Amino acid sequence: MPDLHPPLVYVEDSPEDYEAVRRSLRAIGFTGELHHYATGDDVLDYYAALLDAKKPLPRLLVLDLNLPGTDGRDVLVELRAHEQLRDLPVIILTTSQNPTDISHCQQLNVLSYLTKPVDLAELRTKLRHILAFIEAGDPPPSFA
Amino acid sequence: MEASTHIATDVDVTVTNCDREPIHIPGTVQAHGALLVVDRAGAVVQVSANVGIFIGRESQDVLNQPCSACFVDADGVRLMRALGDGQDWSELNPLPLVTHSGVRVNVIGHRQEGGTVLELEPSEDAIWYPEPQPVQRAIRALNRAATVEALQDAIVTEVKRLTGFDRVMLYRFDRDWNGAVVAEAAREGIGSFLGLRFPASDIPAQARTLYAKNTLRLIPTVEAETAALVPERNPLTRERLDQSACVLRSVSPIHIQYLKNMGVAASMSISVLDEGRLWGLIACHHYAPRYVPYRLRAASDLLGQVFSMQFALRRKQFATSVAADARQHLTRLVERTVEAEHITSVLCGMAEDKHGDEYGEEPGRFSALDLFDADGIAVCLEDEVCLLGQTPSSEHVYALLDWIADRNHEAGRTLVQTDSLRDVLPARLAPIAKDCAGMLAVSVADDWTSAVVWFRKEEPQTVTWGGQQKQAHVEEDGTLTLHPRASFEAWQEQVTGQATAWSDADVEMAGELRRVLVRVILQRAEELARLNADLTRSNAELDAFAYIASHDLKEPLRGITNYAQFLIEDYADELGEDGQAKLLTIARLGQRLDTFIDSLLEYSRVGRHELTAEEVPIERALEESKELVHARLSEKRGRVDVVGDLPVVLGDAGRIVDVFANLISNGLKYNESEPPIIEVGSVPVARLSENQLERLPENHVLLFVRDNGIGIRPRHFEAVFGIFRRLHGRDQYGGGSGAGLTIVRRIVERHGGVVWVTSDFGEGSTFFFSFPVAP
Repeated sequence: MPDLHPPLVYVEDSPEDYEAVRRSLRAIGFTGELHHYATGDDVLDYYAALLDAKKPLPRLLVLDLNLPGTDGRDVLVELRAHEQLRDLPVIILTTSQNPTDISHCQQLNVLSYLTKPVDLAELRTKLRHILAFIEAGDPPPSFA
Repeated sequence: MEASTHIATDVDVTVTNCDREPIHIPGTVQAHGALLVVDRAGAVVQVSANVGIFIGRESQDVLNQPCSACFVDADGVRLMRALGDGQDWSELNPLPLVTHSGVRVNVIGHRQEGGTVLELEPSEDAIWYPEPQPVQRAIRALNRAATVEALQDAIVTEVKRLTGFDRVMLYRFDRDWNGAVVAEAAREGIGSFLGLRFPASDIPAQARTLYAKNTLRLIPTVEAETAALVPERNPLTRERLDQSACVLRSVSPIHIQYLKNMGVAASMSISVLDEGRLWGLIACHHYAPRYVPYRLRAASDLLGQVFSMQFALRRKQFATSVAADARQHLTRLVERTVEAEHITSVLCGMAEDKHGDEYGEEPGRFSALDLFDADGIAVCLEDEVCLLGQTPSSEHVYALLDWIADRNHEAGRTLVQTDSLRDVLPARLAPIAKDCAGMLAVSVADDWTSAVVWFRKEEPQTVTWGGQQKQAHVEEDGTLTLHPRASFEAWQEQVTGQATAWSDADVEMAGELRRVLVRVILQRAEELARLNADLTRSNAELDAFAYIASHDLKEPLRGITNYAQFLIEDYADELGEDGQAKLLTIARLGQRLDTFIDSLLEYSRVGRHELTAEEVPIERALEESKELVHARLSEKRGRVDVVGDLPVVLGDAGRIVDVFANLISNGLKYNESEPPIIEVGSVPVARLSENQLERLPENHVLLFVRDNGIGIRPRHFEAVFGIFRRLHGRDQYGGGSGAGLTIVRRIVERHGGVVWVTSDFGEGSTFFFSFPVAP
């Protein structure tokens, strides 16, 4: 296991949710960089800049769906339409339990669809899926 | 003779023989006048045997001689000129001439096949001409009559005044040619025939035909001799003389007997025609012989014609005003039908009429029964029947509509009517005719599933006949003698099963209402389709709204809860135990609110989302639901037992799994037994209790989930299904939102099923619920 985990990109407009995820990731032992973007437009710009500079892409994107501006659904559609980002591993972390969202995201080939729990302990359990993926380099076992 | 008598007495002799009697060729004339038939040259070819009385020469001396020889020279020349000129006799009549023997006569002529017929009537009183005044007076009286009834009274009064008959009646035929006296003017002391009915056989068909052709007949005395025509057959036609247009035509002995039986000595009748059809008669009776001279007869005939015209006019005015009233009713009904939410209520007059004022009437109840004269109405729309007034039962109405549909649907008929249901209904439907005789039905849907039916009672129920009809008698010598009834004492007969016929206006109005209803119902269907589309759209919007609302509610909630926990994590020492406990309460309340939001969201989805219909083996649904409640099942160390075979139902698999998951979860949650046991099964049809059978919808299978939990008190059996309704403290039995059973009921009811609970408090509960059984 490397000393440092590879960086994780997290798109989240709620500062409180970001804080909860940040704290929880640290609490379960995530040591890598956490790149935080609050809007869909920001994260798309970030990927565009990396591609322009021909820099390596972070291994995993954790994406919220309800975002101001270009929302998470649109971000996902744009990524999948982009030649070089088509296969970027994406995990959805959202409040939405709408079956339409779930099936939509499944079709757009996300690794996992996680709903945000109110209970902090439950959140940590779900984040361990993500961490496991980062560490193993394998997709998490199933949708949760 | 024996044989024919036998046959004759087997049938209704009076009617049959009367109908066959060739009354237009009697071969005789009434002997108060004489008749001559002359050829084109003016020679006499046929003559009545009594001619000698009038001209002083016997028939043998007159035949084949110029007819001019029958009159004094100058008048003979006048007659020959009239014959030769081809003049219109209706303008010449009567021609006052003096006969060879010096008798003053009126000659009334007409041309027909077989020569010109000259009828001679003695004119001792032929110098009597009615003054114009009485005729004008009579016509003025007819013109003044404001109503049909007043007009009827006026004609009998004026004819009596003009002719001096003892009794003048207006006699009206019904559609079966029975007659009724509808107006009468009679001298005192001879009783009244007003309102009496007379059977059609009293005036047989061939007599009615003659009455329509020749509008006035006179019998000056029933005792008069008749005079035979000589020769018997007209030499020009080789037939008996057709006397249809003759004034002297001798009357059937049956008719004379009829008059004698009534005590009548002289009679006159004037035909009343309605558009060429015999409508009735102005019948005049006198109890002593009475001769009415030609001019007076012509005046009476004129009055009859004026009456006919005035009557037709009044009736049209009346029909127009009735139609105008009906049309106004229809307009009101249509306005209200278009506005109404419930068409049946409007048609049955169950809604207040707020338009009353516009028609200058008090707002009130008003229904399709007021469109025209009917005793009851059945409105059958959208699988619902509404009865108003006198109608058959609703079961009978449905049976009637089925029967109508069978006979008329394919033919495309949308309106059917009868005035005697008894005559048309098959035996199995005969009881329907007990309540109603007349029926007028319109189909509002193509296949008669929706219809409006009007009913009429039998009418009239009692007919007062002018005397009881008697059979013909066979005399001892074997000849058949017709005896018209001797007694004209009023005789009552009960007539059943016949209603007043529906008029053209009634039928038109019903058809009009039908067109309006079809249009309104079509509009409603279109509106419904539009509303459905709106509903689908707004459902989708509501769905999106529900998710967005739940997201926006949950995000701050999560923040609050998490931050409370951060505080505990980061400042445990400073907070102390009390501070930590309070922050934990915040976190717990946040989680509780989160559960509520989830339940609301689920409940709203269950209510609105379309259900799929697939075959669902309960066994599989049960397995899936056990996975959903796996955590609780292992936590409580409970088990789920299947009792007997599980059926396959028809429904939405996901929702059926939800039902089991909710019920099993509840059964485990509210359970203190060790171990908690949940039994799942179905109740075989044969073992359904009476109560269960009554509740179970058709083609449904009854399932149950039974637990050995804490049970429910009977007074809560219904309340447990209410939303967010809990029976226990909110932290007892693992908390929860209280929406689970509400969702269960919603799912079951959306499948057309029923759900209920039975319980022995403290022993456990059994939830029964039904789903459509898979075919």
